[in-house]
Order: sequence, then C-alpha cells, then structure tokens
Amino acid sequence: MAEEIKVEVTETTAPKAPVEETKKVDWPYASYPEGYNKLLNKIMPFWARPAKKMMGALLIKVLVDG
Amino acid sequence: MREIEKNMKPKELKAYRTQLFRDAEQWKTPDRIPHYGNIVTWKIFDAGYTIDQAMQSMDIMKETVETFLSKYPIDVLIDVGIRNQFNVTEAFGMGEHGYYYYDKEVVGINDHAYCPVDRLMDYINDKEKYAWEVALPEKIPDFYDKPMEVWKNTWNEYWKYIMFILKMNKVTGAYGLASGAPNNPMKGTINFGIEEAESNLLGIRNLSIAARRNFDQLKEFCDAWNEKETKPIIAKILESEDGPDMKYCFDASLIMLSQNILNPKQFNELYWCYLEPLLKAYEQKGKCPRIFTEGKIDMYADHFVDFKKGSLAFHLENDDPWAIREVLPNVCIIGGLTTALLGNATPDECVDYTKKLIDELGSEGGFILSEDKMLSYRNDCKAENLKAVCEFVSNYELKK
Repeated sequence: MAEEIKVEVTETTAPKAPVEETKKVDWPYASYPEGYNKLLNKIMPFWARPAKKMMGALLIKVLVDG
Repeated sequence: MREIEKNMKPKELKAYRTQLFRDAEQWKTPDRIPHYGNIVTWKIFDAGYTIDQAMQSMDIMKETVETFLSKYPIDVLIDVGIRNQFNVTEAFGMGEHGYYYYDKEVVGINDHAYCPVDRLMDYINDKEKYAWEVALPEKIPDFYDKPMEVWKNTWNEYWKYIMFILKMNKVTGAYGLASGAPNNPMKGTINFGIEEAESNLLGIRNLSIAARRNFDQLKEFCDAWNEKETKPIIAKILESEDGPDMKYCFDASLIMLSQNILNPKQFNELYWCYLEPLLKAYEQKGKCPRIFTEGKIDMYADHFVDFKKGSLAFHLENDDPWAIREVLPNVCIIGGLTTALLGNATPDECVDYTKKLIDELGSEGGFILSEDKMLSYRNDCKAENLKAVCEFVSNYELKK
C-alpha cells in the first residue's frame, strides 16, 4: 500500500503500562457486556437501540482501528 | 467513453460495467477491458484540495469524488471518500492515539499493536470484550475519564459518518459506478488470523519474532480464528446460489500481505491450510474472489495452479504481470499500471504501455486494468496520464 507507515516500533511483547485499576473500578461502564450496554443506552437515541448490537460493534471498531 | 456507454442510464451502465468484470474474470473477451480504480487520496489533490481540508469536511470529500468521477470514466473505485472516519475519532479526542493520522499531504497509519502473543486467545475468545476492556483503555490513556458529553458527540459524529456513507452510495450510483465486492461483514474484506495478527494485533516485527519463538501459540490462535471466523463464511458460501452474484464485480475481497514475511512452512501451517478451503468453496460454487496480493505472491504461485479458470483474480502489487501469467495461466490478473509510470512518464508512454498490457494479457479475457499501488500521494500520478489511460481503455474495443 502506498500509505505512509511511521517507523517507530512498539515492543508489545514487553509488559504494557498497567491501566489504572482504581479508574477502571470507578468507571460504571468498564465491564463488557453489562457496562458497555449501559453506556450505549445513554448515548444512543431510543429509535436506534434495536440496532444496538451492530451499531455498537461498529462504533468499537471505529474507535479501535478507524 | 464509447457512445454506447454514454447513452446508458446509470443503473444500466452499472450493470454493463459489472458484466465487463465478470467476462474478464471468466476468460471471455469483454467488449473492452474494465478499469478497477485503485485510487484513494490522490483524487483530493487532483480536485485542488489538501488532505486535511478533505478529511475535515464531508462536503469537500464529496466534491473531490464527484470531480474525479466527472473527469475519469473509471469502472470501479476502491475508495469513494468513506475510508477514513476522522470526524468520529476527533470527536472522541483520539489525537495521536488514533489508528490513522493526517496532515496536508499524507494520510498514514500510526504504529500500533494491540496484543502481546500471550493474549491472542483472549482476543479471539471475545473480540468486543477485549476491545472494550483491554485494547481501548490501553490505547487511550484517558479512556475512563471521558465525560458523557464526549461519548454523545462521538455517537453523533458516528451517525453523521453512516449518513455520509449512504450519501456517497447515491453519488456514485449517479455515475453508474460498479460495486467491487460484498462487505464481509463491516470493513469490506475477509480476513485471516495471521493477517489480523500482522496488521493489528502484533505488528510485522512482533509477528516475525512470534512465528519463530511462539509458533504453537500462533497456531492455536489461527486455529481458533478459523473456527470462529472462517468456517462460518465457508458455510455461507456453500449455502449460497451457484454462480456469481451479479450485483458485484467480484464475490469477495481478500487482502494478502503476511505471506511476505512467512517462510514456506509458516505459510502452509499458519495461512494456506485455512485459505485453501475458503477458495475451494468459491470455486465449487462458480464464484470469483478478488485477492489483493500486497507485496508479492510469486513465491507461493504453485499453491494456486490447480484452481479452475474463472475462480480467482489476483490484484498484483509488486509482481510482474507477465511473469504471473506465465506461472498462473488460470488466474485473472488485475493491475499492470505502476505508480512509477503514472507519476513519471508521458501520456503517450502510458497509453502505449496500457495497449501492450491489454493486447498481450487481455485480448481473450483474464485481465483487468488497475494501478499497482493505492494512489495516495500527490506525485503518485500525473492527471494528464490518468486521463489519457482512462480515455484509451474506455474506448479501446476488443475483437471477439
């Protein structure tokens, strides 16, 4: 592909900086699928909720590699 | 464009263009050679804008696509302006933690890798759970601190993006542009465990290391991917109607890149053993997938020699099309145009080369014209060269 790729290398086999556990515990939406669904219910309009499974999955995908 | 095509209504033109692709894939001589536009952000420069302007405005992006389609009678366009969702990631405040980055001249990919080898099974066991509980919090340092307002804005931008995709479908429909391949299921391509490991989970460097040091763990992951992701696709193919789906130019779209860093044993055990059954299913049902063979594929050409004519189409990047025709006379070739040619030669030289490609590789079917690289940068192509090639190929009728 002609897209430019930055050359810095991340050593992912090394331990990652741990995500702060206290923050995770404090955040009411941290678990999947319970917390995640609760968050989607807060941000999705009522009429869109029947498509929550697909729309939520796509939103996660966009945030991860969009 | 030929008069006969100029007089067609958009829907009719779309169906006609689709038939041109299907004829070429089936090794029937098409009326003319179809042109698969492997053109991404280059069209932004050609319309007089810079990358940042188009990425920050859906109206400008729409204008660049319309300008492009008005100027160049291309039959399929790989990106119709919907490839990069910066409005969503920017609403979320991703900044340098985004997958892509851009400036005036470039859209690029930030270095990324979401998994160490020992967490690959966590990922495949539940991809969304892994993304939500591990990948996103690790990728975005303030993930747990985002106010609800940010989440709501992100949703709103995401919805705008979906609406933009629908709008662009209408825009391209008005030009009679043909559809490449059905989506599967979200990003348009069928992926394999080894490709996901290379492009997102481990990265090229860590995959190269893991293929030697952690082969068994990689194999376990690829097996699990095959069970969860690939086998259900094969089952659907086998349940589908025989023959090509005429709504599309191809029955699927696959990207192969990791073969470039695998040795033959690794390729056979981490890739081919899963890929072959999928391709055989398409062959059995009389369907033809397009495989974008990034880098090179010639070192593994022998794996594909037994497929029936009409069941495989390779979109070549660095392979020589004449050499591939020699070793794989059963595989339809997509490609031929290089960025070196389009960016540096004269229009006459480009047309002469295009004519040679068509006369030597496509006069009896089995060839589709395309660019070897995704045209992305300003200097990847001169507008007058693409114009000359498009005018030539859209008017050059083949003898039947």
